[in-house]
Amino acid sequence: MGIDQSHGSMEGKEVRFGSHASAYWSIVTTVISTGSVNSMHDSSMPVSGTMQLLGMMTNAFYGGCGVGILNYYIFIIIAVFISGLMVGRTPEFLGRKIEAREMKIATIIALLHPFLILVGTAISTYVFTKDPSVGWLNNPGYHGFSEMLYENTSSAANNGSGFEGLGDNNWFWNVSTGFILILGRFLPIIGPVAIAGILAKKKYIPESTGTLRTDTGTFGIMTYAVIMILAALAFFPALVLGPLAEYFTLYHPK
Amino acid sequence: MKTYILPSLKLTGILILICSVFYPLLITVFGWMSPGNGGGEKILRKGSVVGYANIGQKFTEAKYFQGRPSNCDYNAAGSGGSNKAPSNVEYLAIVQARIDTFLIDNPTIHKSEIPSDLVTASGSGLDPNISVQSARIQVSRIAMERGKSEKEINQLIDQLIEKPLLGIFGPEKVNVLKLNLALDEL
Repeated sequence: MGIDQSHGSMEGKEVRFGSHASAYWSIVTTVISTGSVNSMHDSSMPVSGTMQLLGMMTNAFYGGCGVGILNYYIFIIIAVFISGLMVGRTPEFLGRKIEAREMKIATIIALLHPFLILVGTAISTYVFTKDPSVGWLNNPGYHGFSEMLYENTSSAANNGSGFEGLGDNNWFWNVSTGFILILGRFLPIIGPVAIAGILAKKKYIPESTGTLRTDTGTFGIMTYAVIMILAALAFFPALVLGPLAEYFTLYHPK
Repeated sequence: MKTYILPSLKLTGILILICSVFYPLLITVFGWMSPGNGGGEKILRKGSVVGYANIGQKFTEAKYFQGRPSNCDYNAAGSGGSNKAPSNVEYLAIVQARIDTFLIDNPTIHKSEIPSDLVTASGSGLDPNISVQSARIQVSRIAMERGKSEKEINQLIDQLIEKPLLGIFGPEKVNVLKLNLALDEL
């Protein structure tokens, strides 16, 4: 708008933190699931908003409270299985075979997170478009969709922060996000515990030449790729409709 | 039965002790050690409290430095931000109006000199600080209103610049209330 932008976008941010530290913390807080904020996420620029959403959508950073390490463990199981199939070795993890039953549980848990978020967002978007007089949205257009997406993501990832422009203190949001919260919190705990129980019952197999080694850099990249593909493939369409569309309309107007 | 219930009860008791006795005590001790002994850092003038260092106040008179716009009008009982998105047309109109008002009040300033923090609302609505540039561009107006030289006021700002925390978090800033109090004593 022709003013001095050397301080960055300061809407919703405090001068003592500045825009850099605010943006940094907004992403850290979504990664480690604390939900504490030092700026208003709703007023962040779209790229910061994308990163905040991705932090919660991946939801597999260990060190994060809630289900961070559990989800990471699920992704490791999936990565072991996939890479085992790719190179033709027996998928083993910690000396125990990974078989169909564990894979089924792991896949259900890994898909539960995107399922809860996307279905929740779809329902709320449907309710909103059917009757816009409910008046939840503080911002029109793509950003309004981001607000609803963020609210559902935040409750599925047990984060607690929000795009707080959303008027969410009404029965629809309280009930729907309540369901998402309970499912998104407890199922990812039950799943890995069940897998651990099944694995513990199995016989320990000593490492042989046929074992896929899980302590190498290659396997690390493989796990990373699995997480990225699951997060990106599941959520990318939703991100395109929300913050990314907002970004392109901001910087490349018609 | 006994093997499960007794350890659970013990664990519950220990956690109650840690979470609801030791942790609050620890936080209280931190509070006592902080400036103002946990009651907030008060700013005094002639022996009476005129404000708190970390809660912003509204200044409307032209002879004072103005703080940032506030979405809650500096009402500490209902603090909050606007939550407006940068793509929101209504929001852009509000910012444009703030820029226009500022240009009318400060006729010597060109639009490209206005720092973004002076025309956007803070997240809390109670931001006590402004950036150094935001203070500098108000100097010529205040110098004219008070009949002081710009040099004097600029020196005052130099004295009150607060460095960023650990040298990395946030820009250099000035506390509006402290600055205005010092201005009155000039």
